[in-house]
Amino acid sequence: MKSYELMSILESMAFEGKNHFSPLYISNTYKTADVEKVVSLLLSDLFREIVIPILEVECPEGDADFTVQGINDLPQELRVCHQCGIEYVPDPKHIWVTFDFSADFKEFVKKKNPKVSHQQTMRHLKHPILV
Amino acid sequence: MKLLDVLAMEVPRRQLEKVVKDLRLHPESHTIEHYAKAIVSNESGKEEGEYLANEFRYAGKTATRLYYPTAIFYDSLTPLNSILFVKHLLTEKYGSRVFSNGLRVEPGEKPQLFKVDEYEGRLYLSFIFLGPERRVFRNYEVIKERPQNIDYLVLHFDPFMVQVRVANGKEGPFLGEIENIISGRNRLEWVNITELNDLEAQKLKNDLNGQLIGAKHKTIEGEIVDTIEYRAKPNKNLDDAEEYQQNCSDKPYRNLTFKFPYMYNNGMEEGISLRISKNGINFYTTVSEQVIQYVLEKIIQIKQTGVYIEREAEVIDEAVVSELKS
Repeated sequence: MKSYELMSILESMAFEGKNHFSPLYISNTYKTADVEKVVSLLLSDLFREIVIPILEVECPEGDADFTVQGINDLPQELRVCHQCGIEYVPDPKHIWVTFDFSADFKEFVKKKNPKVSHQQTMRHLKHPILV
Repeated sequence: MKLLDVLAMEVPRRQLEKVVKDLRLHPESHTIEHYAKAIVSNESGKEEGEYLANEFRYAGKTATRLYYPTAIFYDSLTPLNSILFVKHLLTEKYGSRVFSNGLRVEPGEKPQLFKVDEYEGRLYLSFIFLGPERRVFRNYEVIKERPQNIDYLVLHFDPFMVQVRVANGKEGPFLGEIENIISGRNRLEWVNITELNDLEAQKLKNDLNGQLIGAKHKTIEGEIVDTIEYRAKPNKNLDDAEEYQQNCSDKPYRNLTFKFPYMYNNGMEEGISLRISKNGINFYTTVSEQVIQYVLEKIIQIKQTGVYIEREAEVIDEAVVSELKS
C-alpha cells in the first residue's frame, strides 16, 4: 500500500465521520492493504499530524482495561482489570493499537468538502422560522 | 496421594458411577466417597480406578497452553526430544526421589517442583507455591494464612513441547523454572501453539464438530463500544443466527466457546465445553488426559497444515484475471 492510497482512505473515513479505529478496519475494508504495512505507515512521521496512536492495554482475559499514548508509558506495576477483576502486569504483547484522527485533520476534511454544509444552509433558507 | 483420595477429588461422578454399574459393585451409599471406596475395595475396580486416576488427576477443568521453545542464543535443543535425556536432567537437579515419593520442599513465593510422574510418554511435573496472604476465621479467631497451591506442567517429547496448566497470565514463573532445568543460563523464546487466529479458530471448531455456544468479538472502529458478546440458548449454535454473522464476521474474536461431542475409551459420551482465547484454551467441563490430547493434536495439525482459505481465493482471482487477459 502506498502512502497516498492510505492518505486517501483516511480522508474518506474522516469525511464519513469515523473516528477511533484499528488498522484492521483499513485492511478489512480495503482488501489490498497489509495490516503490518498500514500500522508502520500510520506510526511513521508522514502521518504524525493526521492520526494519534492510542494503545489499549488488555488484561489476560482480553478486556480493554486502560489506554496509554506510547509504549514507553506502559506501567509495569500490578493492575486490576476493571472489567473482570483479574490481577495482571501489563504486557507489551497484549496491546491493541488504535488511532484517532487529529482535530486539525478533521477540520481540514470538513473545510475541503463544503458541499454538505452548503446544502444544510440552503435547507434552512427554504424553511424560514414563522413568527 | 492414595487412590481413594484421587478418585474422590478428581474423577467426575459419572465415571465412578459407570465403573460401579459395569462391575455390579455395592457402595454403602450414593456419595462419591462411598463410590470411590467400593471401587478401591474390588480387584477389577482397583484396576479401573487406577486408570481413571491417571487420566483425571492432572487434568480436570483446566486452562492449558502449549509452548515450544526456540533458543535466543544458538543452542541445540534437539536432545530435549528424548524423554530419557530430560529425565536425566531432572534426576541430576532434583534427585531420583522426585520420581518416586516426591520431595517435601518448603512452599514459597516461587513455584517449586516436588513431583514428576510419567504417563503415556509424557512427563507430568507438579509444582507447589504459596498463594496471597489472607485472613480466615478459625476456632473463633482471625488468623493469617497463605494457601498452598499446586499447578501442573506437562512435557511432551518428539518434538519437545511444554504444556502449562495454570491460570491466564501466570505462566511466566513456570516457564522460567523449565528454562532453569533445560537450558541453564540461556533464556528461551516460547512460541504459544495454542494461540489461534480467527481462521484457525473456525477450523478447530469444524474439526471438533463443535457448536458455537458463546462468542466475544472486538470492534475495529468506533469510540464507545469495545466488545460484543453473544451467547446461544441451550443446544443452539450461534453460527445459525444471521444476527451474529452480520454483526461479528468482520470483527476479530476475543474468545469463543464451543461444545463438541467426545466418546471416552469406556464408551461414555459427553459434550465437552471448550473456550479458546488469544492466550490459549480453557476446559469448562471436567476432562481427562485423552480429551486434552485430542484437542491439542487437532490444534497442532491446524498449525502444521495452515489455513489457506483467503490466500487460495487470491490465487484463483489472479488465475481468472490472467485467463481473461489472454
